[in-house]
Amino acid sequence: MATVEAIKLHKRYGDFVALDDVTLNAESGQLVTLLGPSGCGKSTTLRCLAGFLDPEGGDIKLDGDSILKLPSNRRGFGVVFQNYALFPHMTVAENIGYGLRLRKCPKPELVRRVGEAVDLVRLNGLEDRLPRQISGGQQQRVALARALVMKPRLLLLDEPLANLDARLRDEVRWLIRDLQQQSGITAFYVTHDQSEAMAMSDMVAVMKSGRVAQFATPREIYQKPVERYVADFTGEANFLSCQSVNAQGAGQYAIQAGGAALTVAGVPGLTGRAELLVRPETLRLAAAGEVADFNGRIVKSAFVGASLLCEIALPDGGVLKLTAPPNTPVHVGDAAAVVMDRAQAWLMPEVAP
Amino acid sequence: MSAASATFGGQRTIGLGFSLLIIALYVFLLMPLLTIVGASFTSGMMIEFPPQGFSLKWYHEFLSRKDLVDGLLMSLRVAAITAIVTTTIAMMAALAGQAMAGRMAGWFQLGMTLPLLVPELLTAVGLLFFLYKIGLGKTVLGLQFGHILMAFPYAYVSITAALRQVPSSLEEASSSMGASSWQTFRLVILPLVMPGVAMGAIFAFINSFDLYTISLLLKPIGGNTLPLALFDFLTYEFKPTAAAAATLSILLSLCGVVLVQRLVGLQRAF
Amino acid sequence: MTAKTRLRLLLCIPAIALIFVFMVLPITNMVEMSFRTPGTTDPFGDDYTLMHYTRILGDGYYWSVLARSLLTAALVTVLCLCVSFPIAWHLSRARGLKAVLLYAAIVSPLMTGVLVRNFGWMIVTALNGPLNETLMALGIIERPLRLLFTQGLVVLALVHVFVPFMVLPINNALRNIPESLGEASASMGASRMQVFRDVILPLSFPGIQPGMILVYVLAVAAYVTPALLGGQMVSVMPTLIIGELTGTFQWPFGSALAITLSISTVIVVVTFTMLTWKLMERAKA
Repeated sequence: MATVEAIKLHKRYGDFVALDDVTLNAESGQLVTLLGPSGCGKSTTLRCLAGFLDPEGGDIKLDGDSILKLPSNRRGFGVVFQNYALFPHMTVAENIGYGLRLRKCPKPELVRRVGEAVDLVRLNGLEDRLPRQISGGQQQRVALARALVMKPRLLLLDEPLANLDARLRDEVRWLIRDLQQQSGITAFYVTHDQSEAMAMSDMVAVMKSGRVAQFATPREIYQKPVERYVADFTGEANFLSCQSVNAQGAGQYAIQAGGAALTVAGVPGLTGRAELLVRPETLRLAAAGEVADFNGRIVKSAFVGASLLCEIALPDGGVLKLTAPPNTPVHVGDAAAVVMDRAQAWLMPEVAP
Repeated sequence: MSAASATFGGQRTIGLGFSLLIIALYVFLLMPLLTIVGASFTSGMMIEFPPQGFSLKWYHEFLSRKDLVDGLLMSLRVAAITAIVTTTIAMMAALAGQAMAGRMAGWFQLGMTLPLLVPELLTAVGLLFFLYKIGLGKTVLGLQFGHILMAFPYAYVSITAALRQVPSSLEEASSSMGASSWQTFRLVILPLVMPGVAMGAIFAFINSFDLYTISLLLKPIGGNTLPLALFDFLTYEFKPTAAAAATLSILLSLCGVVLVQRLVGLQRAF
Repeated sequence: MTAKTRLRLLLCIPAIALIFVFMVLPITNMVEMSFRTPGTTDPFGDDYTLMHYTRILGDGYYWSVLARSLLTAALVTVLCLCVSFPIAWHLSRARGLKAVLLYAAIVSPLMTGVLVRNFGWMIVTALNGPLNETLMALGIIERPLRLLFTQGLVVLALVHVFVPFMVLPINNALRNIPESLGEASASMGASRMQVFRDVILPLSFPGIQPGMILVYVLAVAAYVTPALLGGQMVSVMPTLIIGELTGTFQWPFGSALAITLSISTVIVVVTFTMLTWKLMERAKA
């Protein structure tokens, strides 16, 4: 098993900077997700790791040794592609055994290892089919088996679930995570789906126009984002602007937001204007007589089955989205009192609009 | 992505040897055309490359040769009529072909491209007898039919490809707004497929202009197309006049290439 | 089927008439012609006979010309593939303006008549032409080679004529191979040669096979090039056939030659298709 470091990777296409000082690392056995919208550089980073692209600057180290000069066919990494990249003219078994064949693996061992890989991804009985004769989910599992059968030092997955429908996506997601953990392979995983990233990863790197905006655990990314971009990308969020902040010791601030005076945690070293991140699930409508954090007016409500989505306008112009139990009696125009779990509110620097 | 073009399976590949090979192959491809153009401007008396000096005298000579000029005019006239007729028939056939489904569509497509798939020689031999039998042997009309037949598939393929790009919902939308079939064709379909139609006409024109074997066998009495006249000229007098005539022909095909690139793009056309 | 659709199908009548009257009928007619007796005043007689076919099959000369035609075409096809594959591969990687220019370089010869292109080769291979001059300057030969009216020049010029027909389908097949297949192959340890052998070559076969068949069929029946560049020295079936038809006016015998050539070509093409069936089945998208 291997540790991987990407150090200050730099890559440009003409005037377009695709990667700008991208630094990441994966401990042995970790699954690291690169998360971001299309064009943020996540696939470019992965392709540099795989050796399909040469970065212009920076270094990539595997167990401490630079592999930058090593061509892709000598890196010994397993790659799972978004379109699976199965060889259309080879059967399932031939696809899986291709890498072993190249390594001149003796026939009996090749057959045994392909068989094991087929078992692992539960494709028994489909060994002699061509890729076009099996379903998308099955193709995906062939791609996975093909990458794993080589016992790679590093597994690279490029949006492996993007072409699957929602139901299959869940199933294959857990399969990938299980196989990765069982075999203890270090893995990089590219996706634009935040729930996928949260559920599977040991570490998440949120990327933004060629840079790493934040590299941390899923919990930290979600609850303690360093900037609004990260908070936005990782889930539903309310932002309340704060005119001034008063530092109250390590990472604690006294603020005025949404018409309330609060003491909250936040990004260290904030001064001047800031923004308060309030996740909808940390808010609820106050019970009768309860002390509220915010007082406002309901401007929208929508019944969505399991719950009621509400939008509440605050006196300072801010808006809070929250979910209420489905049978809560709310009417647009009513006054509403909102309680917040203060421990989960998080103060971030304000970005210039 | 530009970087992808320099890699092959993620490995750098454009080596010096390969580049030299590619350059050599393109030289092979273009050399005959370039030498003709070069030789046509010689001021010497012989066809040679590189040419001696520069002059336009062989173009003057070409214009003073009645046999070659008549051949050129005949070729242009036949090609123009071919382009107009094939484009019209091909447009109709393409509309019909679009309305077909399943196996029938496949057979129809095959039938329409038959003149392209059967060697020109066979068609020419067959037509020679047939036109003789129906009394059109050695006539300009017979030659014209031969050219229309040979050029038809080019127009058909171009127009069908263009028609395929038009979503059928447009036709339905037009008819839902009260347009007749003719109005829909005139106001919706035709403007959208116009580049394809124009490209079909260009291909048909150039194909007709270049045809040799079929013209040789169907040659009308006292009439010669430019390729026939040029062949005879080359057999008896090997002079730079021929290079001047051939250069005009190359110029025509270059115009065709530029027009096709403008209309639909070479990559989509071929 | 709605009335409108039925009406629309009628639009194909002129095209079908064109192809039926001026192609299907004439070729059927030619088959009939090949069984006619030779004429005395007309180009053909009134009775039917098998004599033309027995004459062709019984005469070693026709066998040798037929064999030369079929083998020359095979050689042209193979050389064409060798020239076309690198061009097609290079073209399939090109993007933007470069791709447009390369396409133009490949398509311009295609849109120029065969006669003109052959004429170009006459200049290139002339005794004092650029080819001889270059070879002499490089010290490869001492005196100019006489290339006109040789089999070699005919083959070279035919390859030149048909290269675009091979490049375009192979280019299309190569463009349809996703970049990621090569990357996947490399990530599993394949060298450049192995990627080519295991992935690129088999998957470009859907372009190679039709390209080869098309070039072969066209090369077998090519008339202009052997007539102009081979002169009297290189006789192949097409020059023989046209000679019979326009020189000695032996229409039935010319037809029988044409049909013999067609049947031989079909046999070669069908055999080739059957031999490569497996390769094609696998690679089809």
